[in-house]
Amino acid sequence: MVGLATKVVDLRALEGAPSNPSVETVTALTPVAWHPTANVMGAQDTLCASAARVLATVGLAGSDEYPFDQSEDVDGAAAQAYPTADEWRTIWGPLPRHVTPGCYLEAHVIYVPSGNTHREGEQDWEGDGARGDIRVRATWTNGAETDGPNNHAVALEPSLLGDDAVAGADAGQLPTDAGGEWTVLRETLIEEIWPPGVDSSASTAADFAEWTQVELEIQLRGGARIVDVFVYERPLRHAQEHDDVSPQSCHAFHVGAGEPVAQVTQVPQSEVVDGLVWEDQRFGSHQTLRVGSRQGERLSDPGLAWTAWTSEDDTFDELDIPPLTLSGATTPTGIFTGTAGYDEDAAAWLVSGAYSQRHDACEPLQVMRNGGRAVVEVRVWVDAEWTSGGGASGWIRLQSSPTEWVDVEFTDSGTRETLEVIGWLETQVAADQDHATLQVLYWTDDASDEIELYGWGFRPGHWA
Amino acid sequence: MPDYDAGFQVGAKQGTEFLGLDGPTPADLAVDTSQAGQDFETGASWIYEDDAGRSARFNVAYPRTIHARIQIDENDVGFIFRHGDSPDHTRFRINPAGRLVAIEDGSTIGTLDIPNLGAGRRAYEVAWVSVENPDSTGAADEVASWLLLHDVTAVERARAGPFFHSAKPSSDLYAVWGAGTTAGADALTGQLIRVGFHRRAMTLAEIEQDWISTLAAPATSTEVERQGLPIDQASGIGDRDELQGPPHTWAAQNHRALRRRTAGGRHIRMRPLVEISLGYHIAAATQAKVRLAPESTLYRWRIGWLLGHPVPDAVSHLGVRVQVHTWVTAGGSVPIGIRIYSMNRPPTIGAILPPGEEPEPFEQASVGAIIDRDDGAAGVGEYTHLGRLPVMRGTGGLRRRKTYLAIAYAIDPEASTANDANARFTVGALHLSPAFVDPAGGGLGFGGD
Repeated sequence: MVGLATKVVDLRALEGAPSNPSVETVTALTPVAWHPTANVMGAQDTLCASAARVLATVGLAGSDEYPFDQSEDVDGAAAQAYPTADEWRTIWGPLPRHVTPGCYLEAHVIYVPSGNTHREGEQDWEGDGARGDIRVRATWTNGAETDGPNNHAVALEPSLLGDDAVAGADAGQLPTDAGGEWTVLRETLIEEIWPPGVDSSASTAADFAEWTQVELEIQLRGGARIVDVFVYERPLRHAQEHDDVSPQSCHAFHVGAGEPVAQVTQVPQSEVVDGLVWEDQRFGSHQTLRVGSRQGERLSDPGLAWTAWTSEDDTFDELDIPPLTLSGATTPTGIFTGTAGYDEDAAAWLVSGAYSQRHDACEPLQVMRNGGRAVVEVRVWVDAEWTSGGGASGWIRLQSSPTEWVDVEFTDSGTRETLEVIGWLETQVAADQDHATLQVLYWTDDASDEIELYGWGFRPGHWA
Repeated sequence: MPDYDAGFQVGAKQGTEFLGLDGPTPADLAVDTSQAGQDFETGASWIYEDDAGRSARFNVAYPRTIHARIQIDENDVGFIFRHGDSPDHTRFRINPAGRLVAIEDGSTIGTLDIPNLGAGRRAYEVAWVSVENPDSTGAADEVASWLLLHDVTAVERARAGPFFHSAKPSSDLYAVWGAGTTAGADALTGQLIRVGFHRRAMTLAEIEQDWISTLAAPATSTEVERQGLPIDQASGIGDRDELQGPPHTWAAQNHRALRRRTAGGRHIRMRPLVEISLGYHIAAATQAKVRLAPESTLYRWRIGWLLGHPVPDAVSHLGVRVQVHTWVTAGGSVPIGIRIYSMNRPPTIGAILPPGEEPEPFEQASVGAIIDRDDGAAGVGEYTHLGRLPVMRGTGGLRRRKTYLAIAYAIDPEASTANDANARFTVGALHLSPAFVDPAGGGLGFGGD
């Protein structure tokens, strides 16, 4: 094992690689095309490298207003009219998300130029210029390893359009003519959202390679005007210690990275394998099956996560997300509509796990007869604060059909907490099926109880 | 690994250990229609198996489903299922006041109040489902269980759990459906219509699909690939633990089934729901946010409906669903045209690429529908499936492997009514699911090539 303390595969080199070879669905009397084991293993490595799952999104979401919006600078105001340039305001999260092995994150920001800011002068509030920033805060956790919060910020272009007639004007306006905002659209990336060292240290990469949980938070500063922000996975590299026998999602199998496939092809299919020695873990059939099992257990669509911030928020003195305040219902009630019970027609979300269906829950012949419905195991998070007005608990329910839902119960009055529950949700059977609307409902024991809902999320899989 | 042999009856599945049908007559209920084929003995209103060797098959802690269809009224009590010796027994019973109770290892682990009970007997599907607790901290919370219920008359569902508890100790004394002992102590005063014991965790959706109403598979033009048969590294032909041959084929096929697992969609619930009317695009406060969609003189984009989304190479299409609430302030309904566009870049910002790099030619595709409804101002609207949207993706810089999506609208696009000024609508949600069209229908070939 000299010189091979850590096995690393460069997933960037595999991004976009064809995922051949493999076999088509095996049916009776159909000949199977055989490929060398190495080719199958190399193909398995491309699965993680193809991930581009979106883990967090925030933006206008249909709104006509930008946060803390203003279009004209004001000096000498008695009260603050615009955000300050140096305070970060949370607009998404913090919520936990799990990252595909070997992948880390990037954020894409579509925006229009930033507006004005205010600073507190000796006597009144003064204009502090047009400026805006966005940052992603990420805290990475994997077993005993924790790193963060790490801040990844980018400055957004300021608006230079302004009214010079106002003393001290610093612009900050947006075009007001027809279609004008479309002409000033901008976009930028926040790259390399990862724990420091995963790109340069193999052992650090190994610490965070397998299904790391990242607690994500998105914040704005100043007069930032965002249209759409999405934080998504990008493949980097997967690493594992040589003596690590825990299940892995990649082989660390080098294809096209200086090692010709012919040289690393091991174990002709007629030979007996060597057992679980390190060479065999790396290249043998044991590893092929272990990786396949691990991928089958965990790879999935990303689920969803949502927080209560809206682009119309104009609260300067509160740096946290303004929660959605819910009260008055003692039976399950829509958080937006206030209507009783599950309503598959109302505006809401979707569980689109058509490609996350697992055999033991969805197999269409015996398990889910006729393949007419599908369910996915889920792990749900809800970030909320319940305050008793006489009752003993408050509830948030994620429900995706009349049949399947997950309830999260809050019993610690006056405490904001993020609780985690496992269960099942119904999902689309096929991606073009009009089914599995995901509604969020709430209720409390007593009509005087109150729930402040900050956010929720779920992902397929019961695994911790 | 559970057994994956085929069963004999509806509901007799992989891992089913007992399935009794056609109750409440004990002689019928006692016939095991599962692959185990081990019939029970019959009591007056209950059935039992007084054989430690045979009843050992119920020594299952998880995954496990104990399921029954019962007919009870508000006064009925008694055992649905009992297995094992005291104090280690598993008990699934109804307590006074219509409370479903699960008892494992001698301790009550969870309850569920049965809804809608009255003087007359009603039918319910009830189940106790257990899985391994993935967050277990020790033996005391090794198992997670749920109690599930479907009220057949009211078509209502109820659920309690997860409850965390210790695993069932091995205890083989006897197994009884419908009573607490083989002699009939604590017999269920209601009726058992159907009973089943399975080595797999079932969902209520699965139970309904088997016993309440079987939905047909949805019509789809996409390929659907589920996880293959689970297998582990100890598999081979028979029990020889050989690792070449069929397991290798499995690995290859499994890879094929999973290659779309890491594609994700985008699902937005708009907030707030902005009301659009005929004058929206020319109103002073909003005109800057609206522009005509390229190559259209009717359909308009709003900046609040512009999104970006990364798409892996193998994703050829997005399944699009949009939620629209439309109404009129007076007169008859007005058709609302809704389109979803996929673009390789926003048409107005092609020029910000680094110096020397040419803007990509603008490409777009769209799907749409004309929605002619009047949901009423107080209504919530409904979803419309717009079909499959071909993905146009960027190829360079920060737009590489990304598509840009925009909702467009047109009020009365075919000029079919004179009531346009009274039309109102909101778009409440946009759902985009990665869809893989069958290659025979024009989709991408295997592996995205």
